Amino acid sequence: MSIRSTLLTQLQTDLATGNISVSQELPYTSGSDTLNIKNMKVLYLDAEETELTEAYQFVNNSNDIYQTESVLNAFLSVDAKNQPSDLDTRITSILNAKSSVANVTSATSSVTTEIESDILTYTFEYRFTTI
Amino acid sequence: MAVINVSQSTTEATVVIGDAGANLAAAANTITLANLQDITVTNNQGSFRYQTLDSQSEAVVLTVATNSIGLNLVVDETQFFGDGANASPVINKGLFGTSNDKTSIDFRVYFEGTSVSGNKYIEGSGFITGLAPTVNPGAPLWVTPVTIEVNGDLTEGDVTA
Repeated sequence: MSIRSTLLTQLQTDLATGNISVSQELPYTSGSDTLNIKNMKVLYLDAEETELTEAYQFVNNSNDIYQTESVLNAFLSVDAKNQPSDLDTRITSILNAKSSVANVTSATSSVTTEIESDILTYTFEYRFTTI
Repeated sequence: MAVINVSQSTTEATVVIGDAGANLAAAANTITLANLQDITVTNNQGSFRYQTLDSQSEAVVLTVATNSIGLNLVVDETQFFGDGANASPVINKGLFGTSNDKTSIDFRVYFEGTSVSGNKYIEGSGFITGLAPTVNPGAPLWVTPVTIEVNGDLTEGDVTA
């Protein structure tokens, strides 16, 4: 199961109740707006970005060992003037969903916010390292 | 005159350890250490300095040398703990067992691989010591230093491929 699928499954479980839901769709742009702007209070998980870097290099003929760094972003927009009452709890759940991904060296998550007009957009970043 | 470049596939630095008295060019009683991160060959001559009344500078004579091989490697389970079955003590016990049992080994450090005739190596006998495997969440592979304390002289040789 891909990291995105695992995260989606966990997010669907965590957000099964409450004011925030999660979509299976990628946060593509529909018309002039991205889906998370068009459909507020719905979390959209983007596709996985992967980088392969050398973790261990050897002087003999052993094959070098690489680490894979995977980054996924998720987007959630809400009405800045009328935020869902359970928003803080849901943000914590969304951040904690990183723990559902097993067999990784490190799993971190963070969130940043941006306000445009009356729309408050949360951008979540999940970062996973695997050797 | 040429520098020794180990970055090519036929000239990679290689360390082989084997049972005392084994043919190090054959695989039967030897381990070619995997996942080597670095290798240091130390040939440190002892010295005795003395002063004389007729000179403004100290004189020196050399005494006996302290020889050792130092390396760091990412632990390969079989090489570290042995296969537990082979007739060869080194292969059977691996690095840890060989160190723990204070078993004498022979070794050869190939400066530029094992496949090109005329390339240089240094060999000798000694004991495995200095194992200190370590791991942490950010570097999740076991890494250990290995020291071969050389018993006697280091000897230079040429690869015969």
